[in-house]
Amino acid sequence: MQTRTPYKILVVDDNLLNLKLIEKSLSKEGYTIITETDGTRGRHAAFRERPDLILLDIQMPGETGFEVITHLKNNADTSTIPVIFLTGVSEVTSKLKGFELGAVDYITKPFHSLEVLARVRLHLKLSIATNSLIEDQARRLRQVAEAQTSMLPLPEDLPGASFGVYYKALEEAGGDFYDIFRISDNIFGYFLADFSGHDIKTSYMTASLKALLAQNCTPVYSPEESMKMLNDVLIRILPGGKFLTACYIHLNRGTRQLTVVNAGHPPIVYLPRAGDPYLIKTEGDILGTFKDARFGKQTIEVRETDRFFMYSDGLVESAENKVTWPRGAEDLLPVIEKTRSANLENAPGCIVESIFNTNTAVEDDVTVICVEV
Amino acid sequence: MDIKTIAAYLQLEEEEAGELVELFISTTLSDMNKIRDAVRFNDFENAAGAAHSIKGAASSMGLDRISSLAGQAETLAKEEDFDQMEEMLGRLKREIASLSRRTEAGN
Repeated sequence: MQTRTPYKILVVDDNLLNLKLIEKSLSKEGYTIITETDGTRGRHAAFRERPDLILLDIQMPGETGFEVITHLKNNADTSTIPVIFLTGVSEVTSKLKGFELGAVDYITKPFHSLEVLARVRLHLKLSIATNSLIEDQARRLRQVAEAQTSMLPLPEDLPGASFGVYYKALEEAGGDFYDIFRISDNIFGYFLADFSGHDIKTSYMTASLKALLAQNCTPVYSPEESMKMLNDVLIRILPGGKFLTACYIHLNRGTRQLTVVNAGHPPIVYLPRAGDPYLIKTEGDILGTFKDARFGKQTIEVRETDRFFMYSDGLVESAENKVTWPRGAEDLLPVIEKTRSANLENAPGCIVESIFNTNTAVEDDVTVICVEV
Repeated sequence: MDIKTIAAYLQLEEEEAGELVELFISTTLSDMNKIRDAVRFNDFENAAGAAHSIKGAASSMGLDRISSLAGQAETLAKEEDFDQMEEMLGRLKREIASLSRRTEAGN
């Protein structure tokens, strides 16, 4: 039979009798007790032993209990350990200060060992419940993040599609989504969307979107028709208030024709083999909101090794610096020009590095896709 | 108060309670020496602190009479009145001796 490791309690008090009393009472109930007689040693023991709970005296030689708890709460390794203060001081202000610093409870001296035991049990139970809730939520988010990432194709999955990609979700349930798919031998589709919000619901929607793309982006439909069909379904399935911006590149390497359909998304950048980069401005309605939505569309003749860049607004917008994407997109052109010599796979990463290496902090999910004809 | 009563109060085995009583007696004697030194130097604050410490420890052990005497000693120190302190220390000493005899007899 498997036995659980006993719960470890650290007791810090300069009063030897209190230490012994608590040690004897709690160890009799199956707890492992570590005792220290001053604040500094207590703090070191907390970092070293990572106890499940700490009983901490306030008035001690050297570091006081208040100083010790401040150190513990400022360190990620010890910040979640529940601390109960043991104190001879029963004044309200002192208690309030302790709670403010992160204590979960107080035991006023003199105490009865049964009271200590009861409070230790209570706070261990609360701590276990909170930790398992947090762990459960983190596990679910990890699953979502894994599922989301496994849906995003990489260049090695589709060698004929000739693209490079940078994808980074700010939170585990990201709002950016992209897909790249083969429509026929010479035709590939490149789709990038940005959902409003970053919650779990959003990330489940990305799975639906992937299925919708597979159903609707076929040789039978024009790129604009595909986008309209996506819109019709999304209106029905998206939760209230949710929408997405998207852009869709339909590239026929046989006819050297590239069609861009834009649904409220920042403009894609065209970097011709010979010539300056420019924005393909095709304004359109957002996806998933209007039944009669109209999408911006443009078809251009392209040449081999021309490059196209699609990106999410996280690359060019900054709420902090009050930059919206019409201006941010213009600022992107010189950055993209500089990546001309970068190989296809590295180009998106170079752009991100160049933008966020300055003084701009990442505020949103960031996706950059570079497509080469 | 004998060791059986103390063990029952602390919810411990008699042997464990005995260890705590020993520790209690030695720390209390040391605190009483602190009070004596403090009286000699008219150090009311340290005297009150040591008396407070005995009061708390005795209360934790369920030794109410000792706790009450130590409480009175603390009050005397806070009122800066050392005239009756020697008498109070004498009473405390007798209580400690009595505790020591009874708990040893119980073992």
